[in-house]
Amino acid sequence: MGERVLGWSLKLLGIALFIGPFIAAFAAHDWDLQAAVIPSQEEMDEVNERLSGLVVEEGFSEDPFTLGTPIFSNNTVRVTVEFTSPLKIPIKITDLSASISGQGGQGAQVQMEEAEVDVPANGTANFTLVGPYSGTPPTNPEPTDVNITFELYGVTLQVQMEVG
Amino acid sequence: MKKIPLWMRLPLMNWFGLVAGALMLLLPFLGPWWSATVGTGAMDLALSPFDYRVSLLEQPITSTLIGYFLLAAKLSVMIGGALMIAGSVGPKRWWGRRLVRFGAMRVFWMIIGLIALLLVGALFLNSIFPSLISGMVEGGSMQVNVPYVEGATTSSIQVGDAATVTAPITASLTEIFWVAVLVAVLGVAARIYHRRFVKPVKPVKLK
Repeated sequence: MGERVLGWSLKLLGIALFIGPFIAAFAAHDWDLQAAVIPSQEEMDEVNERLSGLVVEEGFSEDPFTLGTPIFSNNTVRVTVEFTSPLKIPIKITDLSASISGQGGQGAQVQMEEAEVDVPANGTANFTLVGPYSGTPPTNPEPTDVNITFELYGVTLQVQMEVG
Repeated sequence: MKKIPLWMRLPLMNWFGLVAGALMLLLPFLGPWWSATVGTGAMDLALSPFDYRVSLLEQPITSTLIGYFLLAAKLSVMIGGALMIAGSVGPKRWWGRRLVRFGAMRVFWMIIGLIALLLVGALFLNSIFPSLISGMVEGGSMQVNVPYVEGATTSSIQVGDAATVTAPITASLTEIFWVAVLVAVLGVAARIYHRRFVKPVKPVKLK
């Protein structure tokens, strides 16, 4: 008799521990199924706020970059770059390469001199692009075909832009 | 005078059940069994049958229903552990076997459940999710490569020809998972060992 009662009690305990969470969760949210299952509105608003910091409303164009005039000397071309971040979160620029071309002379390939550059949220960072060059420098040189690699939250974003 | 071996002088108990029961009381408070990260803070996951932590861009996300379920799992294992200790202390009592059986397999099934969840989740993300999402981005393609339970992989999203998003994903079982495996093994051993305390019932001859 006692063993039977114990057996049923343990079975009922197991069932209560399975059904109990459903009842408790729905009761805590006035029997609203959606509110009990999905995260709260405050949490979702906070996530949306953070996600909006990653989105640039007008699209990611070349506008954030201010490129200096390329300087050709000792078979090397150097371009200073000022980057103004349109993002509301800090990012890291891990690579930037571009082609330099103009009227006359040969084109050149330049790469970021620094290993990586930290850019604060909506902040500005300066760095230099360097590359080898031989021959006559072109007149009115301008960068074209810019490839940039960012890192945000450890996720890498590689963007290819056609400038000019 | 004949010397009695130490094991014969020990009180009659299910020692496996006693240790497993004590560890079951501790297990819910030791921490996650499995953790995964996407990038560095883009997404963090830490799971155990008793607790979960999900954060997206360093913002924690919670669900009331899952929270209550995990609380019930915590209570279930703690009650199971307490009953297993009681059943192991009195193995020859009529209630001993029932109490040990109630708690013995709980952690074992939780391990099986967690591993199954991780395998099904990874299979969904690797095989079904990319085809669901790829159509949403014009000219885009998605290659998701989530590790099955443990490992380090890289997933990528191609947006046209202009942009590529690459995310490193790492997943690993924690030391606590291996403590849980030990508890599960001890629980199974306790259940098997308990049979020695139960007298086999003689078949009754009907005249």
